[in-house]
Amino acid sequence: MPMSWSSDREYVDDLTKEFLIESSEGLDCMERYLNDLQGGSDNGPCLAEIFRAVHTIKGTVGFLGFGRLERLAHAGEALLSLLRDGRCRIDAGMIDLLTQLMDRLRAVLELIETAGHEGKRDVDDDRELIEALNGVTRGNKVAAPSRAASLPERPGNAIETTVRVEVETLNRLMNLVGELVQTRNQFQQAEVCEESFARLSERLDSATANLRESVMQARMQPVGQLFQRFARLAREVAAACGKSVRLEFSGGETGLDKSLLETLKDPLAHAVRNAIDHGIEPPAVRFPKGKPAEGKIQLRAFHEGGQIVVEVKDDGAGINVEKVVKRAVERGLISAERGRVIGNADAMELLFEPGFSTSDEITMISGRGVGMDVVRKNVERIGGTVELESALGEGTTLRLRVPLTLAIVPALIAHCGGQSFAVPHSTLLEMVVLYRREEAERIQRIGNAKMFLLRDRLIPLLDLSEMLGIGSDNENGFYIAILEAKGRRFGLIVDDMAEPQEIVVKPLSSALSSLSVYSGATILGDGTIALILDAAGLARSARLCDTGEGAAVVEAAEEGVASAHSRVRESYTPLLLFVDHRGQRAVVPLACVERIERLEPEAIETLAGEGVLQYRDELIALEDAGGLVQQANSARGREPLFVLICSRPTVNGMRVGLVVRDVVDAAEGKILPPSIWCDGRVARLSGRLAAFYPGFEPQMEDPKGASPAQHECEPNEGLLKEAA
Amino acid sequence: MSYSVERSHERVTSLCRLRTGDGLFGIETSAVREALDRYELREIPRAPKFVAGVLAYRGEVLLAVSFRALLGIAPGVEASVAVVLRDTETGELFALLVDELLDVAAVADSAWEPNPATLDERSGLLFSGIYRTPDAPLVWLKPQHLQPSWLMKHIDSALQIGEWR
Repeated sequence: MPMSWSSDREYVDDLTKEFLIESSEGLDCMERYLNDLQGGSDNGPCLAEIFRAVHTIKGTVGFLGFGRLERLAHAGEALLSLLRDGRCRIDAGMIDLLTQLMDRLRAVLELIETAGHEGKRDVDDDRELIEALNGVTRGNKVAAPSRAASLPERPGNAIETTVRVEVETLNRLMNLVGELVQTRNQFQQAEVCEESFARLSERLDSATANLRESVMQARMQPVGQLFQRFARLAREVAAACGKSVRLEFSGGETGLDKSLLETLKDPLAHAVRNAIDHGIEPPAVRFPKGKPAEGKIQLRAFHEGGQIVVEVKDDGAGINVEKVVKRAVERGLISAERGRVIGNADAMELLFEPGFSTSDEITMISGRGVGMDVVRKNVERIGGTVELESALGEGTTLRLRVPLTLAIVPALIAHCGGQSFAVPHSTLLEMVVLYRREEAERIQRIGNAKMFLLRDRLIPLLDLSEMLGIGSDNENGFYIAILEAKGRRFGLIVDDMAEPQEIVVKPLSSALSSLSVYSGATILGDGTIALILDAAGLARSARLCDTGEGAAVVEAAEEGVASAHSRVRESYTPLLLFVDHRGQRAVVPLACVERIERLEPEAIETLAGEGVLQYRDELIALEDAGGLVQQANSARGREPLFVLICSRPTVNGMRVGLVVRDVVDAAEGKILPPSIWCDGRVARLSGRLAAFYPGFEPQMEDPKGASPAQHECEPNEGLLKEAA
Repeated sequence: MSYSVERSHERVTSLCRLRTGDGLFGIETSAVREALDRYELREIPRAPKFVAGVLAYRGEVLLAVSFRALLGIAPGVEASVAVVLRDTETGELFALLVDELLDVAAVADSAWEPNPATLDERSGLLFSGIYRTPDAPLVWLKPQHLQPSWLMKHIDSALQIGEWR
């Protein structure tokens, strides 16, 4: 027989639901005051509040018939009554016992919410705890029952899906809705002439804006609500790590959208765990450094530039960049060569790579490499960004920037392949329109990658129609949206752009959560749906976010920031352009080239399996990555080869022979700043791009202003003519 | 909550009868929140094949599941009907696109039979038995086996029709 199916899991009635919400709030309050007690706050007011929370639960559960809760609350209330009246002094053991009581009450509430009952009607489950509470009440010493050594995990409960709204706010909302209804009625009833239409539209606009503002305000919750949850987490993690940590809060009154607040819960919990486990040193290490034995973690929230900033700052050991790079090389996240040249900013980015951990051992708390990538992913999902600052020996600051609300965001509507997409302003830097006639000049290819020259900067280019497998309609030209995600800039080719508008963000089905290129959808004014593009997801999908050359360096170069690290040489340099073994355009600084030889294959000899060339009584090793010598030998007629005799600047000017397919030109070219997606460096000659041959890339500018290539290679005066 | 009712001492179940391709199917009436015959479908590039797209429904954006795609038959040329259901695992509403919504019928629970042993794997995952009716056999569809969260877990791995576009 088929079973009947019920669409809704209605386990609890409204009265019970209300009780669950109230009790959860009471237990939150209890947790806050227990934390205060732990921190040495005045006992009197704290104990009075805790007593009130437990007393309220006890008073309500009687008529709801939750006997188990009643027995627990009764035992707790008896002890709290003694403590409150000063007939018994509170100590750490009692705080622990009360914390266990709080956990047990929460667990039962959770059971009621999910299953509709309190669990087994057998008192055995709670007997040990109740006996411990009663024992203390009778004057015995605290004998707290043992409990599983696990980190506290708060289950999602009714309160997390509920917002308390003041009646005054509801009244305001109702008035605004009334105004909307009135305006609609006037639209329907009045003969709409041009004059009245303008007036009614204005009124509608005003009512809509006010309503939106009021609803947003109603959704705002103080960040402090969230901060309080970490006090206990910090205490228990610190205890598990054998460290002493003090958590400080500020800006707890800062309001944040309820849904954003919930989304920040996990990232912040990760951050606090990380700060304690990896950041704060054990007391024995802190003391010799002149730091107080107790580590400090500050949780701050404040407004900045239309966003909410939430910081987790510790005064621990800071991040050892060398160790990070070493571990990244060991784990194969970057090559050893990249590890040697990687900048600080990029090295810090490695911490956000999935699976990355610098922890030497896996503990219950961390070291599994699931942390910072989750933090970044969750924060980016709500349109925020993550920044990490660290000073070795002084501490680390993790900064999360999140929008005030998710509900309504300004966006530009893009069209591609006949479909509409929304590009949120938060990730859009600028728009460029490009006509077909300009395409060859400004868009160039290296390998199969497209890139775009924007004010002498290389920007990787993604084609939305190609990425999504949809057609395109851009015969005459197209738009490039310059987007930024994870500190990386890239261009996105779309067919057309419409006017900017404020869009109401709607979530996409969770079944599509793996489609990271979209962050949601919106219903446009004409009733059609536009998918909201996720810049970070697009970049990930195109693998632009692999940790490559420093985007920060590029950024700084464009902004003209004069730091020794970021200054790159951008003047014109004489370059030799040739076709390398892969058939691609490549260059070396002309100053490094001593001679261009056109040789018969026989002139090349083999020594210990390697091709060598006799040149001015010297043996020169040949670099023939593409096996061109062998190809030339096997070809009919034995084709001559081009060999560039060069001094390699990176190896003390040692001579090397580069076997290349063809020599094209010698001309002055502009060396472009490092590309964020290309391993090497690139130069522009006669409007086209060419990559530097590995090992001949220009170095960062010497503070004295001279090119390293010029330092290390003797310029060959006659070569320009010879090559020409 | 059971929606079966007693009638003449026999338990009957109210089913919404619908047609897709040549097949006749029934979904418990109580599970159907609404049926839309006019809607605008928006494709989602790179979504799994069983996802026909998304549609706007009372201010929400619903995922539309193509029943034809689930059955492995070619898309129809005529407009389909969107049956709005709730995904019991995620709590989200979704739309099931079927060719035609016929009527509501009360079927006797005693007329239910399990899926025939010879039924192919794909249909076996989607169908929850068959009701004998005077007209034609009515395939019983459990909404739980049509909801996106279930499809992502089962259909995707079992039948490869969840593969990404």
